[in-house]
Amino acid sequence: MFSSLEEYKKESYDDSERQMLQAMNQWLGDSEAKCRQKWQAAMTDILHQAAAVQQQAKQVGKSLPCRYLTCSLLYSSIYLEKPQVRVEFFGDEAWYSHDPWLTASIDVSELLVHWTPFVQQALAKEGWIARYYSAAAIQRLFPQTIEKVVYLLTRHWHYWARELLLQGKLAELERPENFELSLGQYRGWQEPLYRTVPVQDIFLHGAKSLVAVDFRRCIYRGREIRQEDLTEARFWECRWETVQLEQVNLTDALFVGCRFYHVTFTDCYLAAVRFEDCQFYSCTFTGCDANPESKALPLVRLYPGARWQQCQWKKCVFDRCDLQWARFSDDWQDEVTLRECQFEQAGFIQVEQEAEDD
Amino acid sequence: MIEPWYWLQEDTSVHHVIQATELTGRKYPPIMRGDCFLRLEDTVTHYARKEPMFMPDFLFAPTFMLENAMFELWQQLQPELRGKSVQFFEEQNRLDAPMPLYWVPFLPSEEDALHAETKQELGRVVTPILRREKLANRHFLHITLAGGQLWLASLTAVEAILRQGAMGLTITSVESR
Repeated sequence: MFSSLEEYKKESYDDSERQMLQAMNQWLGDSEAKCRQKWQAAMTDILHQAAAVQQQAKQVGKSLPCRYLTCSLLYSSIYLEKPQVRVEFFGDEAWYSHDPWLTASIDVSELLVHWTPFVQQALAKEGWIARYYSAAAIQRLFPQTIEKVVYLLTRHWHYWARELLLQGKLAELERPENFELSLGQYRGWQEPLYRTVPVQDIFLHGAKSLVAVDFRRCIYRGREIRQEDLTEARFWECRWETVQLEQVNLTDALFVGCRFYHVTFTDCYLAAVRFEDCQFYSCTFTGCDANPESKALPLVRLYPGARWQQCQWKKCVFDRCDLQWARFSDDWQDEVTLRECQFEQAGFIQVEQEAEDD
Repeated sequence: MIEPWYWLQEDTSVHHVIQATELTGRKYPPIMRGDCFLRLEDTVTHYARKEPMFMPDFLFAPTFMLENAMFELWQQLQPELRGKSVQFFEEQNRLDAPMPLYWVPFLPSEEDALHAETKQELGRVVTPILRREKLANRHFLHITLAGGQLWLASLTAVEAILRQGAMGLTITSVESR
């Protein structure tokens, strides 16, 4: 029987919290979930509104760029049982965190499907010595749980933001070079979901970071790229010919409409990488690690499997690669040779249907 | 852009709350007006230790008080907030007993922050409605009326308070016009 909050937390609350977060993580990862579609649609509407406001401002000679687009899960909205994400648009550093030029809300009350039963279980009196039970004291544990819920949301919304990007929904918003879309606490920590950074040359960047850089219509021919960190980099319609990539970190990278001819990927990190509408001709992947649960990845992050979607293949080889949780589409199997690869939990995306998530 | 605002009220579900044995209602009235606050000094009081006993972040008797960490948070958000400290000691002076520090916070009352359409009964607010023009560049409002006092907080303040795991408080959304 519990007689203190510490005892209750250790013996009951932590387990309930873990179960709730696991269930919520699984639910958020379900691509068929109506909430995902609803929240993405809401965000699309808000982006459209913001673009309209920018246009109106332009017509009267004012400029309203959007340097920061923050999304905040309001703790107060959870306490009031109407969860919402507050979306705010900020012009620049001077305005940031106190003077948005537009605010909007996304109703995320679907979170209550998991939150409400968790709260009811947490506040149950069973197991307590009656005089020591205090609902208000137990509620002191909720903020740390909500923080974990926010973290889970950031990991899933990171990929939903990528969907918005691929659908061109961010294009109509006027954004300066260092734009950042983030999710987190209101006037607290914010985790970047998507950001744009100054353009860099993949070979001549000096010591400057290549993380989250956009590369558009680049041609790479007969070169080696070794030990570069290209985490979250985005390659749009790039052409790679006889390029050797060795020990390159491509975690969470995005390739759209790229062409790869005689390219070798050796000992590269490919967790959560996404190749969309790409062509691979005579390419080899050797010793690459696409496992989202790889020990090489930061412990504090969650990743989905690597994905090759609507890609075309010819005479390609995967040799000793860890392709657990990976997803492939199209007639992959006829054109690709597999040698000693790990494939647990990997699967195929059906053509012309929405991709399965992990 | 004006944020949403909230009314801070006592969580009456909290029981076994620490109680000061020496704070009189005359010196520490439920409605803390400016003249009462000016007469206060930092003070020491005692409490009778009971099992169980909670020391929430917010006390509402004999007057509104904030636990030290919560008071510091309030001051960070609104530096002009003033306070008089109340140091609690266990009445038997046991060495292992908690010695919480509380503060009586104060901001000058701003009755004119209430919109004309605020519903009042017997000198107490039933449903506060705030005047939007009074809410810019601040995070807390203190309003004293004949029958009671209100503490109101901005969304920024409420979110910071809730993230700290505040105990002893309920929040109600308040309209502003």
